[in-house]
Amino acid sequence: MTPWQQANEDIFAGAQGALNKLPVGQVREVLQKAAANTAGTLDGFRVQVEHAFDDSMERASGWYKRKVQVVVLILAAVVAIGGNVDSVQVAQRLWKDAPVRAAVAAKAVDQADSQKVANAVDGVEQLKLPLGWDKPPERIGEIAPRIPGWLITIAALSLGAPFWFDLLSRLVRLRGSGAKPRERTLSEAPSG
Amino acid sequence: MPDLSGFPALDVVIGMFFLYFLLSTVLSSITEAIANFLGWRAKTLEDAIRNLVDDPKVRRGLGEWVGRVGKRGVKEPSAAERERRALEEGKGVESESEAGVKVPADLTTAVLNHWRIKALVRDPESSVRRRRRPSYLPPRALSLAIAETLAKGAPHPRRARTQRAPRAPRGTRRRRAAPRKRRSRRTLRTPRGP
Repeated sequence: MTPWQQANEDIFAGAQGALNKLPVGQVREVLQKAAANTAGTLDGFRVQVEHAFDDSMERASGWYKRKVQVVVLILAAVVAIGGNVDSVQVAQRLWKDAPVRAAVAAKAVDQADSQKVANAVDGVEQLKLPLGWDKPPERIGEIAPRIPGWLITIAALSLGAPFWFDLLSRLVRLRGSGAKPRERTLSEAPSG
Repeated sequence: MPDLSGFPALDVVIGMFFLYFLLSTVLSSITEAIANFLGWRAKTLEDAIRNLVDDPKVRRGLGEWVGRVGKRGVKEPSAAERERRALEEGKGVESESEAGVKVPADLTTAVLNHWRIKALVRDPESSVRRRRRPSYLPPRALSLAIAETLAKGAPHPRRARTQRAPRAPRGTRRRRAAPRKRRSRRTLRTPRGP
């Protein structure tokens, strides 16, 4: 007879019997504690186990994030150097070139308002910013001045998209035009 | 296009942040694809369960994620196959001597092979971890799986009593079994009868 054919009380009794045979260690302690606090019902035991599981899942998502962060950092370096995304140069260009600045700002406002991510790669290409390599670098002298800009880019990209979106939305609000009025649908229109 | 805002510095900052936003969107989708391919969610989940129940962590072989491609070259049975064999042959069972209680040596594997959790996976027989193991696990599935896995090793309370009883001669055992059968048949019939 398999456990799933048994009533809950029998499963709990069986599990409790098996608990004391577990090797002495963490499992045994965790599960014995759970079993001791349940007043002899399977549901109580399960709730206790679920709490322990929830706590360790919280930690596990931390491990996962840290692991992913390493990959993001490596990819950020590839993008920054491979795509020659030099933050210093881009900022200078934006500062000096008013039409480009206005166009980029308009796109940013648009993005922050619409709250939907269009094709990001196309979006970058349309910005007309000094990105990418026109020709492969020949001398070390061409690379060295760009390193600080790259490092800034790498650090910025490793913060993640949600962070930048949040910050961008705040700044756009600060820019003055205020939130775009929500379009009313027909059903919301005042009647009469 | 005229500068409408009148705050060039603010617009420079907005422009920079916009660029960072677009690029980090690209990055996060690439990262997500890599993590998916390597089955990191499933691995982290399994490691967390192992950590909870104090089992040793599994080392991932190359064949784990190369999967089908690797299968042709590698002669060893896949990880899934090895686990299943170990469970079937009872190799993963220890301390059987004590009052007939069996506790799986590798509780995590036994728990993850429980029907309640297997039901959440696309392909439980796969040699690739991201297909064989769940990426997310509702707590209620895990708690049921742990309880039933433990109970499976323990002798059933009623069955245990009959097992421990001294062996009766053949004739008596059969006679004892017979009335039980008849009783069950009768209980089946009575509700239908007029």
